[in-house]
Amino acid sequence: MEQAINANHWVLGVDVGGTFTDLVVTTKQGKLLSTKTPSTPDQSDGVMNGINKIAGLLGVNQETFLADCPLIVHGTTVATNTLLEYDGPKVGLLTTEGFRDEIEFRRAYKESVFSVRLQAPHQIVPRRYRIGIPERLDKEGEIIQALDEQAVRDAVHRLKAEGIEAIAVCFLFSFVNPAHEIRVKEIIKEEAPDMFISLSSEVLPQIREFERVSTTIVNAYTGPTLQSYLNHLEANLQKNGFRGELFVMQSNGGVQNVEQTGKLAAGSLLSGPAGGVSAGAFIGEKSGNENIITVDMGGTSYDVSVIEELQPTITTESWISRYRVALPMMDIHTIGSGGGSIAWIDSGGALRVGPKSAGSFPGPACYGRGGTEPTITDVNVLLGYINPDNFLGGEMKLDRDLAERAIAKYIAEPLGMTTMEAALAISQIVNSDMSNAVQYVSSQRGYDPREFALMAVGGAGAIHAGRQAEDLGINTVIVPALAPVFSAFGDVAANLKMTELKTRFEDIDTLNLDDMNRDFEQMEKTAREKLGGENIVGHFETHRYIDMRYKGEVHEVTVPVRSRTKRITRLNLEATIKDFHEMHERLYAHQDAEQTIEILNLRLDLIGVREKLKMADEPFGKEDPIEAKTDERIVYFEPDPVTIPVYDGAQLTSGNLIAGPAIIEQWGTTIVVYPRQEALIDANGNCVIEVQQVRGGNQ
Amino acid sequence: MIEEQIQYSKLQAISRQMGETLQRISRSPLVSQDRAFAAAIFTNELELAVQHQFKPEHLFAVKESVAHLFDYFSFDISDGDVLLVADPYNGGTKGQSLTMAAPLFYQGELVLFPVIRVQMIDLAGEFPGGFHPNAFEIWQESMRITPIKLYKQGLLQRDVLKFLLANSRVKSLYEAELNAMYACLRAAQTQLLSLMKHGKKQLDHAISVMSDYSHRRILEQIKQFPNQDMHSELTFNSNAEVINLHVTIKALKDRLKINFEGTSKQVQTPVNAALSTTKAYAVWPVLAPIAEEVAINEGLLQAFDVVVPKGSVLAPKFPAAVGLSTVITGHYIAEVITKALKNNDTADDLYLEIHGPGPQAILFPPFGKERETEPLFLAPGFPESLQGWGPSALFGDRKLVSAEELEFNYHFKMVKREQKDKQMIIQIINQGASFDVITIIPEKAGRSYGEIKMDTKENNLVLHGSTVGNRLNHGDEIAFIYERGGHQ
Repeated sequence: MEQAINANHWVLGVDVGGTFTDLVVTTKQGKLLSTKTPSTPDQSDGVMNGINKIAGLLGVNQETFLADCPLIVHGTTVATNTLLEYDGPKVGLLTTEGFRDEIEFRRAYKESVFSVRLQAPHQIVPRRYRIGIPERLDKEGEIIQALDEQAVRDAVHRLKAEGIEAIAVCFLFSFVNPAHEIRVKEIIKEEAPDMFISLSSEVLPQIREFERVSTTIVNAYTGPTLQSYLNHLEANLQKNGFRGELFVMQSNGGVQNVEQTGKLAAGSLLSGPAGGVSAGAFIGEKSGNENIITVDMGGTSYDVSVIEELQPTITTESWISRYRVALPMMDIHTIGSGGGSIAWIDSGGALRVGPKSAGSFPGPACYGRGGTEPTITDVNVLLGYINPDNFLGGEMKLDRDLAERAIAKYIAEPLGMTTMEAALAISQIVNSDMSNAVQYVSSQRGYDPREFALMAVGGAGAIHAGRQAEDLGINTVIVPALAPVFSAFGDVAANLKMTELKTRFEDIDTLNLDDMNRDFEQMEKTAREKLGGENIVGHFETHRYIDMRYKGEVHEVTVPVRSRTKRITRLNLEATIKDFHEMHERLYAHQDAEQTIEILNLRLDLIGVREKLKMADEPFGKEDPIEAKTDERIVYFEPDPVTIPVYDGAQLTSGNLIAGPAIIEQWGTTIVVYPRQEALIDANGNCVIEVQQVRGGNQ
Repeated sequence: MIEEQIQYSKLQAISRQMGETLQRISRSPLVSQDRAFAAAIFTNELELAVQHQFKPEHLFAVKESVAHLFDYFSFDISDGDVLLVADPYNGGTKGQSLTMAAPLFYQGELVLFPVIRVQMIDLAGEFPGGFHPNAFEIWQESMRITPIKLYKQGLLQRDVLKFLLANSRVKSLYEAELNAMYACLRAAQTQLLSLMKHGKKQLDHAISVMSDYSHRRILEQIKQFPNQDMHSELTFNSNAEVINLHVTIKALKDRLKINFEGTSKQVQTPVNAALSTTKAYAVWPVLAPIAEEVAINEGLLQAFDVVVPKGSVLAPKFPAAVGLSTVITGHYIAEVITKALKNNDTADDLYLEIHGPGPQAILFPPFGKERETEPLFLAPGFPESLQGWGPSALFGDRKLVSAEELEFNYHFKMVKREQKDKQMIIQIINQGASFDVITIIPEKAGRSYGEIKMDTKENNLVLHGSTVGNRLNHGDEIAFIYERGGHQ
């Protein structure tokens, strides 16, 4: 993958993960270059190290590289880590008097409904920092109690004296009329000019106070750290010759500039994974698959997301680190099945896998770092799928005996099986768990997985994907050539995106079309002002949506508005209503044309479309992959072993056809081509596996 | 067991999805917000294959309601039939909770049937919603739906539907709920058919193996109990009645015997508990510590033998009223069980208190005037559990109403929802037309489970018991006070 190129105007994607910082560079000629470097405690150090490394690979120095780089898109976990590790700044909350405990009551959301031992979530705003302010609006936005400005000033003084660095403000009905919140912002600026301020009417101007206050608090908690990090990184880049624009991947799959990202840190909580999903859509389009289910199997988790007609699905129902974040985000469903997930037997004698993980330290038993319990990685080593001598391209040696011992002791002996039977059983269980997750995600969204291709990324994703495809009745598995740096690639490929939202709580029958059009126009104007990126955007696209539901339902469906014109006509609206009924039918097997429809929100996505990323197609060469064959290996698909060929992924070329069973090894990823499957290396180096459905799919 | 685990996990997913879809498409706040429903799949031998529930009350009622349905229609079930029953004296818990079953045929043979059980918005009874604090007979609470077919061989029975709708004060919502339940069952049938393609025998075997597994898991729990009788008793009040619950628990080799001999006779108030209610709340404290690890199925239910004297408050004779049993008596049943378990040292750490009844109100416009009268079930807070965090385990998966949505939808302005000391206090002002109010508040000597205050133009009321007949006019305030775990 790594090859020198001689062109400037590089576009750089940098994604910082827990272990590695991944970098991808593209040129206008469609060449790609990628590399990895260890992540560092200050993520910007890893980024700069990576830039230095990739500049070296290009044969230029860092300054030259940066001077010729008009755009860097960055996926960062700074906001996520702040929330996961609860190491954000001290945050205060100003809210309508009488409602300061909403964040603690959480509308009675409890992760384990019937648990008697569940501990309270960590309070990122302790009660003493939550202050009720006398004020009140009604549902029309009319002021029925004036804002007590002195109370605001007193509260700010108090919070300031307590060392508070960020203040979240969330008043009831501020999504209808933000006047009180705006005035509070002015007062805070007067009293505490350096304070980070997070207004609910700016962060999430929509109905339901708990969802709003939680998102606003999260924004206040993650904002200062992210803002400081990005400013520091930008300054560092500029110091080293960067004159272009730094953008950050957002949870909604678009990218935004540093200023906007700092203001809406809660919008970048899924910055890394969102890059991967964006990349999935791009590779899907290149490979002629518009409908994709991406699965990313890392060390501790397995992430599933759905891309329909090249559009990743979006959700507003996310919880992160036990906090509700109701901003639109890539819909990524996670279960605790990763390479480090531990297999165990419960007290009823059932074999389980995860969610407990060995993590990276001590890690799986085969790492030889003291881990004794069997993990998925141990199973894959024992079954012969992972080459213990060539893990991470040989950078790390694995101990097969330790893997075998762990599986024998903890699983095989208690269950009265041979070690190999136990390993196959663990593999079956974890495949089933992952297939169930894919089935859950697709059917929850009204899709049939058989109509999708499965795209596998992450270290172990492509080991298991072939089995899941059989189980789910999926015909095609795609393992992208850039799988090891997939999120960074997605960063490079993504467009700019700004989402605006306005609550309009009314029946559709009484909707005033002119009012709605005015709202959409204003939303577009606001989005345009915030989006920026004039230098890198080719053109803008506007997508409008209406959140609709049958009167009485509590969950809404986001329906795209089909309109070719700027103004939505009555006819457009009727088509949208028809679409709502059909979407409702697809999602829930139920529609009711007689029922009153309620509108909850208007949504608008302004997309700044960048010049399409070019990927040069390689002409198809020989079909026979023999030149890439490096070895033969004994593996176990069933209790009886088979000897199968092993190929070096780096040596495979476009047009190579590999009949299963076979193994393809490449840095960071192992691909298992199962019996009755066939893998083709396509024009972009992606491995496309066709799956023969002899089992017919289990779903 | 590996293959069986895998097959069974797919069955569990279908049952779970039935419930989740219902919650999403339901227009009744009892389902979408209060999550007062359960979803299950049965075998053709009437064995519970898997059940998901969002409130404990349905634990036994789904199975026992289905048993009544199939007793009645034993030789008269066809492909496309949809069966209904809602009767505390036919396996149910209270009259407003409806069980709908859709037998699934594969290659001409009855193989499985998915079932949904839902607390409906209103079906007859003296007051909208079916909660009547002074009821002494069941007809004051609801109509009884004995086993009937809503669909016969795929054809909607319009006469049956019309009859049902004609007896609901909220016809449109009732019909929408029936449609939603039907849609979820149909979707589940499609998924189950897909699963059947891999062989009925394998699936039956998987269900049987995993039923044994659940049985083993629960017996593991039961084994921890001492080999001696565990007793406890508890007294609570209902109107002027003083009610004693008495329980003896004995761990046997193959089951847990829970015996309520000595419990008070049935009373002339609606705190009598139908047998399914009693069983559910008696078993749930034992189940709660592992409820999220072990599938609810036949094997699990068979590990419990609940003995209740007929004619007692926990197994009343027809036609005693039972409407408040799930919101009041159930909590006391759980409390007396936990108390018995905690009376021996070994179980002390394992069995924490899971009950936590609190006040709630049912509001409705003065009825008999409009064609439709929709009750509003208002429980805007919760009593925090004594141990752990959040609402108690018996609160189920209910969600609190949003203050903003309450104002938009019902013209009630919430002015406060905050904690003070160990209380959660919610104050709400009526900004719309007049409402009649039914309050439901558990009563027990020496212990407060919260109160409801009504600040009206006529008077200020502080209510500590269940009442009917108060009115909340425009501008009046109603306040709910929840005590953490019940205040001693």
